[in-house]
Amino acid sequence: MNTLSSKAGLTAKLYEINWLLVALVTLVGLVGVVMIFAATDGVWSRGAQQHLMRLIVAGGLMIGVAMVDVKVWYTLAYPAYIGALLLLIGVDVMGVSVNGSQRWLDLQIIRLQPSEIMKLAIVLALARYYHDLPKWRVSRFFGLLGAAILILMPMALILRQPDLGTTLLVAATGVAIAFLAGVNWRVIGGAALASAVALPLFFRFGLKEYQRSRILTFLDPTRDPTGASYHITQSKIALGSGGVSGKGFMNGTQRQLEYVPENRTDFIFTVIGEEFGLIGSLLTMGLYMLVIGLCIWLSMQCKHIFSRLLVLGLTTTFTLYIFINLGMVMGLAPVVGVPLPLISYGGTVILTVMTGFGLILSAHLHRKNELPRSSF
Amino acid sequence: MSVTPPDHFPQARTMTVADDEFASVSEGRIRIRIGAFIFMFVLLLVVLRLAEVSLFGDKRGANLLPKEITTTRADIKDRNGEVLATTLSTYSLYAEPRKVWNVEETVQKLISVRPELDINVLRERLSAKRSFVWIERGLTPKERQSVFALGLPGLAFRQEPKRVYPRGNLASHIAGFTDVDLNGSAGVERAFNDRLAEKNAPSLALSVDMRVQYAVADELQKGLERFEALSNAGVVLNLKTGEIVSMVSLPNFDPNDPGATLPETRFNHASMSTYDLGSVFKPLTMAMALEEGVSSLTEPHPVQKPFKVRDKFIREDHPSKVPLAMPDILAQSSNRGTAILALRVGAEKQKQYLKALGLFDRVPFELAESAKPQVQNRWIDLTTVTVSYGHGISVTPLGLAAAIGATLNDGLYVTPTLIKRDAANAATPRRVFSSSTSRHTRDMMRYVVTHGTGKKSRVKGYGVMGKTGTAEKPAMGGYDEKRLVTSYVAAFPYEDPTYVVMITYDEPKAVEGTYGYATAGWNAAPTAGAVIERIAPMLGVQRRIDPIAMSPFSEEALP
Repeated sequence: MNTLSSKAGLTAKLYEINWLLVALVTLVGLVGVVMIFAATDGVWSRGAQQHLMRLIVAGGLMIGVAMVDVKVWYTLAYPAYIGALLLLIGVDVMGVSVNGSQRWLDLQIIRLQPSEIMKLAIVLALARYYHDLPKWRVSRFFGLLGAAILILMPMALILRQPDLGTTLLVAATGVAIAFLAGVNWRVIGGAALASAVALPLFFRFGLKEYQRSRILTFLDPTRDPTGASYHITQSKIALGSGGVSGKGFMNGTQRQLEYVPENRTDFIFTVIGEEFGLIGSLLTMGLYMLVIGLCIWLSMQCKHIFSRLLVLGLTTTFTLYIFINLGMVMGLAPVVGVPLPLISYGGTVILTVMTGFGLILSAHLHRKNELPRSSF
Repeated sequence: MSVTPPDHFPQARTMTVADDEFASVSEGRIRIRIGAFIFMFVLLLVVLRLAEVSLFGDKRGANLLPKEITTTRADIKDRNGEVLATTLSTYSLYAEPRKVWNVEETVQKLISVRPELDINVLRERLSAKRSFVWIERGLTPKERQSVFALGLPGLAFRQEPKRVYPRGNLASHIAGFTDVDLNGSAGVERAFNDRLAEKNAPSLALSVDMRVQYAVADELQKGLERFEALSNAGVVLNLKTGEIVSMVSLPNFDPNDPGATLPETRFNHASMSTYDLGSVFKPLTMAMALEEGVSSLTEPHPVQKPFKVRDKFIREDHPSKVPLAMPDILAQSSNRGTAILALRVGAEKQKQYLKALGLFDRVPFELAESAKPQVQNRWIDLTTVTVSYGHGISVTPLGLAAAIGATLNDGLYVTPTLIKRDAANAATPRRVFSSSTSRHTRDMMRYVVTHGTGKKSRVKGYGVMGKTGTAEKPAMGGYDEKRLVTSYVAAFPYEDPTYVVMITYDEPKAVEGTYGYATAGWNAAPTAGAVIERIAPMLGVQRRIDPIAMSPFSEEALP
C-alpha cells in the first residue's frame, strides 16, 4: 500500500485523495462567492471575482500540499514554527499598520500576515511535539512546560499587534491539542482554575483600551449604543429581518442600505441570514458541520499521533473560526474580527484555511505510512 | 504493519507490554468524543440563538425598501426657541436598470452633473439585471433639478426626509442623531424618539440655552488647545430647577454626519465618563460634618501632624504648619483635615449622604448616555477617608454638579433634566442638608475663591464660589502622577446661588504661564471663571459692586 510514491502511482495517489472533503470545501467556497456577490450589490468586480480566483489558486495549493508525504510536513513542523515566530517578531519590528493594528509584513509583492501562518505552524509544532513525547511524560512538568512555551510565545507576539481574536484562537487550538494528546484531567482542572484567576488580570492589564471597550459593550450594550455595539445591533436586525425563509437573493434591504458595515468580510453571515433566512443560515451551518464531521472521521483513521493531532488541531481551528464568527454576528460573543472561513472576503484566510485542508488531506492520504519518533 | 484482530485479543490486552500506541488510541478516542460533545453543545447553543434572532428578533428591518418613507419628526429647540434639529426633504436618486435605454450614455451624462460618483460602480449598477438600484441619496432640490434636466429614462427620485442640525457640533451630544430612517440613535433623538416621531407632535423645548452652550464650548475649546488635554467637559446646571443649561464634551462631532469623526468623539464625557474627581468632593464632606454637628466652623483641627490610616499616610500636598479650622481646611484643600472630619462623621452616615446626593447611582436624567458611578464594595475606614476627598469613588461631572447643586440649594437635591421646566412640571426636591449647613458650605466655597486654591476663577461682582479638584488617574496598581484629571466646580452668584458650573479636564499639561503646574487651579478654575464672565449676563445675573458683603470669614474686601 505504501508504494504510492512511484511515478506511475502518481495518478493512483491523486485518486486516493478524499475527494468528498475537497468537494465540500469547494462548495463552501462557492457559497462565499455568491454571498460576496450579493453583499457588493451584485458588482462582480468588488470581491466575488477575486474570491473565486483565490479559491482556484488556493485549491491548487491544497491539492499540492495533500500530495506531499506527511513525513515531510512532520520534518518541516519545527522549522515552520520557528519561521512563523521570526516573522511575527518581524511584524513587531517593521510591520505595516492597517486600521490601527500592526499585523502585516509588506514583502513588496504580497503583504503577509504572519499570524495566519502561525495558525498552521502552531498545530504542526504541537502535533510533532506530542508525537515525539513519550506518553508517560505528557502530564509531567517538563512535558507540560514544553507545550506551554510552544503556545505562549506566539500568543504574546500576536497580542502585541494587537489581534485579540487570533490570540484567543491560537490559545484555544493549543489547549485543545494538549487535551486531545491526553493531558491528565488534574492538569486540565488546574489550568482551568488558573485561567479563571488570570482572566480578570489579563482583562485589566493585557488589553488595549478599545479591546476592553468592545468586551464591556458586549456585556452591556447600552453602555455605548452608537459606537462599538453598532455592529452587533445592526447585525442582529439584519438577521432578524430575514425571518424563516429570507427576503430572497439580492433583495436584502438592510444590506442594500449598508446598515451592517464590513458585510462582505466578517459580517457576511448577516447577508445569508437576511436574504435566505433561517433556512439558508442552517444550511450553511450544516455544510460546515459536514466538513468538520468528515475531518474528525478522517482523523480517527490515522495511525500515528502526529497525523491524528494534526487533523484534529486544524479542524479545531476551523471550528473555532466558525463559532467565534457566528457568535459575534449573533451577539453571543464580542466583536473580535474573526472571518467566516471560506465565505468571508479576504485573501490570507482562504490561503491559510485551504493549506490547512491540504495538510488534513495529506495526513489522511498517508495515514498508513510509518512515521518514526525522533527522540528528545 | 496491518492489524489483524486475533481471536485471543482479550489476552493481548492483559499483556504487560505496555502498548503506548494502543493506549493512546483508545484514550484519544474518548477525548475526541468529549471534544465532539462540547462541539455539539456549542452548536446547539448557536442554532438556538440563530432561531431566536431570526424568528423572534428585531423585525425593524423586515420590509423597508418597497414603501416610501413618510416619517415626519418634531423639531428639537432650546429654551429660547432656537432650533437644534429639524427635518428637511431631500431627494434620493435611483435607477430601474431595465428601463435604462443606453447605459453608457446614461453613465456619461450622470457623471457630468454628479462628478463625485464612481464611474465603474455606476456602470455596473446600471447594467445589473435588477429592477431597482440606488445611485445616490440625500440630494438637494438643486442637485435633483440638474439630474432632471438630463431627461434620462429609467432614473427617478424618491423623496426622503433628512434630519438637519443647524448648529452642527454645538448640539452634538445633547441632540444626538438619527439613523437613515430617522430613528433616534443617541442623545435627545434617542431618549425622546417616540415623542418626536408622533404624528403632528409639537416641537420639544429643551432646558439648554444655546448662547450659553456656545460660550461654554468656546472656552472649553480654547482650554483644550491651550492645555493640550485629551478631552474636557463642562456642565452648567440651574441648581434650583435642575435644568441643564449647557452640557459640552470635547472633542465632539457633527450630528449631520456623525460617522465622519472617530467613535470617541461621540462619547459624552460630561455624563458618560466616570472619574476620580478628587478634592471637589470636599465641600460635600464639610456639609456632612456640619450637618452631623461633629465640628464647629471654628474648631482647629491638627492638620500639621502626619497621620496614618491602616498604615497609609494621608497625603498632604501643601502641609500647613498650624492647626486649621474648617474654612481653611477647604480653602487650602487639606486632605488630613477632611479625613479627620470624615472619620468623625463615620462610614454609615457618609454613605447615606452620598446616596442621598445621588452619587451612588447613574444620574436619572433623560438621556441613555448616563454612566453609573464606580463605588468600592468594601467600605473600610480607609475608604471613608479617601472618598471624603474624592478618591476611590468615580462619578460623572454631571453627577457631581448635581450633588454640589443640592448642597448649595438650601440643602435640597433636584434631579437634573434636559427638558425646560416651568411651574407645571417643576421638580420635587429632596432634602439632604439643613438650610444652615447649606449657608455655611456656601460661605466656605466662597472663601476658597477669595483666599484659597480657587483664586483664578474670580469674576468681579458675581461672588463666585468654587472648589478645585486634582486627581491622578488610576494606573497599574496605583496612581499615575503624570496623568491628571482636574476639575473645578463653581457656583454663582454668592447672595443667591443659582448656577453650578462644572469643568473637567482629562490629562491637561503644564504649559507656558502655569509655572509647571497642571493642577485644577491653573486650568479648570480659570476656564470656569471665563465661562462665568461670559454667561452670567446671558442668564440675567446682576453684577454687584459691594465686595465686602461677599467675603465671609474675612475683613478683606475682595471681588
